[in-house]
Amino acid sequence: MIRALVARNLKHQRRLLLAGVAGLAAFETLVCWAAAQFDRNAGLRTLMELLPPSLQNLMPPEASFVSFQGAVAFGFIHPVALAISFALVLAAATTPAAEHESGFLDLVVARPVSRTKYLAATLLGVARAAVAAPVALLIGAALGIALAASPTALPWTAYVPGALELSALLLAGGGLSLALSAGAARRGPAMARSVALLLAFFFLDFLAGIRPEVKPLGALSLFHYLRPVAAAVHGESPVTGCAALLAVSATATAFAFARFARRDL
Amino acid sequence: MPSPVLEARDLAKSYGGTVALDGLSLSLQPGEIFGFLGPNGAGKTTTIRLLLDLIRATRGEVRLFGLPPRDPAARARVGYLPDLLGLDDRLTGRETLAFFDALRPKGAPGAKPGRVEEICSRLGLAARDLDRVVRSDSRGTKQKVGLAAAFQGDPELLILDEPTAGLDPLVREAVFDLMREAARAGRTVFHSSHVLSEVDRTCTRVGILRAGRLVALDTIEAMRRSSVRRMVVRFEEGKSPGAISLPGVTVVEREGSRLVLSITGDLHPLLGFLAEHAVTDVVFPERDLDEAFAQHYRGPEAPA
Repeated sequence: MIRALVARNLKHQRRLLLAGVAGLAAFETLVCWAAAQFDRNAGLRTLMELLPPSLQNLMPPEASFVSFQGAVAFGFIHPVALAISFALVLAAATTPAAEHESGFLDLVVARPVSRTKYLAATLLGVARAAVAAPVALLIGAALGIALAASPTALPWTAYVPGALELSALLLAGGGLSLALSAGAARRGPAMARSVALLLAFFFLDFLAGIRPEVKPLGALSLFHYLRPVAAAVHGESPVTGCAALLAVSATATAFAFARFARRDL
Repeated sequence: MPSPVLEARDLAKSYGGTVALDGLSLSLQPGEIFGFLGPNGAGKTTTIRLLLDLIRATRGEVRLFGLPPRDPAARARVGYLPDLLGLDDRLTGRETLAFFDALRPKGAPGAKPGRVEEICSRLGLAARDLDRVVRSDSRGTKQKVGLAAAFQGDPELLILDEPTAGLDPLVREAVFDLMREAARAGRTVFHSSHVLSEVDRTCTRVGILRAGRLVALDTIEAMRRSSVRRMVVRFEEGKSPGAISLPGVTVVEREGSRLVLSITGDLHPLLGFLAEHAVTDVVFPERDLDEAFAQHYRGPEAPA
């Protein structure tokens, strides 16, 4: 029964997912290629030096970012990559609100389908996107590293911890969006609230990086735990960050299930 | 008496201060077609959504086959067509039917071979209709797909909310036939509608909902019997009485020597009165459900 729900979700999300995965892989390959071009004539370092000091401080960790190795990892936190990745996750997470709006949800849960199973099928869609996006970036990184043939390049496996952090971040964002969608009547508001929440987290992390007075609040942002440059270049362990993000994801998902089970449809 | 297929006890639903349904009690037996009548906003759809656990009751309880509707095993025996049908626009009609069929629990008996095709054919769903994505379908075709999804698998209880909306007369007949056949096979049909003539033709028993309260619950025949009777009396030219002052008798129409009377209660005083006048013809038109229905909607609380 749940197989039918999962298969239908996959059928609907397939095109978007394939386009997103292809786009992310191509984007990361392009980032690697561009980084290699700059790296050959010390462009990255020059570019960095041209930036105002406040913006230079934003680049974590600064010394690593301006290397080819750091630039490859930067692809994982680039706003374009994040936007595409979250688009895939939010499209899946807001399905309950969309199907409530269309009336299709009534038809499904009036059948012998428990609300828990319906939401579990949706959650699988979120998880699929949260895994596919970082994998696509890893593929792009592997391809880009191979094409760039930079003498300073790290093996693509060095970016796996960053990909894991991104995956955990997407699961956390997806869980929060699922919690919003589980109580929403329409997709538009559920999507808008999800995007607003993620943007708030993003800017909190940004401000925590440039404003000392905001720095203590930085840990409240989901993006605080996404440090692929540090993980790839300095071998920083992703365990703490992933654990924090997965805890957020689990809590938000549990809330989504409880909310969906109790609500009037 | 067999155990009820559907049982609602003191069912109520409020939204903030607004009472959508107030104290509905109802019991449906196998093989009956139950008509659920009421104007828009009376609480029919709210009732149906409570029966299927789509919304939760403020008070009271529902049992389907002795189980709470929250139990998927109860809903596995129900076919449902909502008032506002929202199919998945990106699936074809055939995929829609296959999807709903796949939602049956493992091991549950499905439709007999060829049954789905038979239902589709009777509803006038051609192969080309079924192979088109629902988004491109007309309202009528979507309704047919929804009906086929409700009837497929021969569920023991059919809950149909305005099932003939958007259908042409021929297909409506096919829907009524399917409902009657289901009842003959021991299935139960809960037919919610605001079209009296449909309920009059298909149902054995009827419940009338008014402003969230069940104001009448009886067989169609009993409902007709209890309604206000009409009598058309024709007198000899120029000999019609000026006024009729009898208890329970009202002149509702006067056209020359022809009078249309509305009668409640005992007929004897009126018959005695008529015997003293030059009556040439008396006609009792067949009592229809409209009369009974209208009766329950008169009064200060009746919706506009």
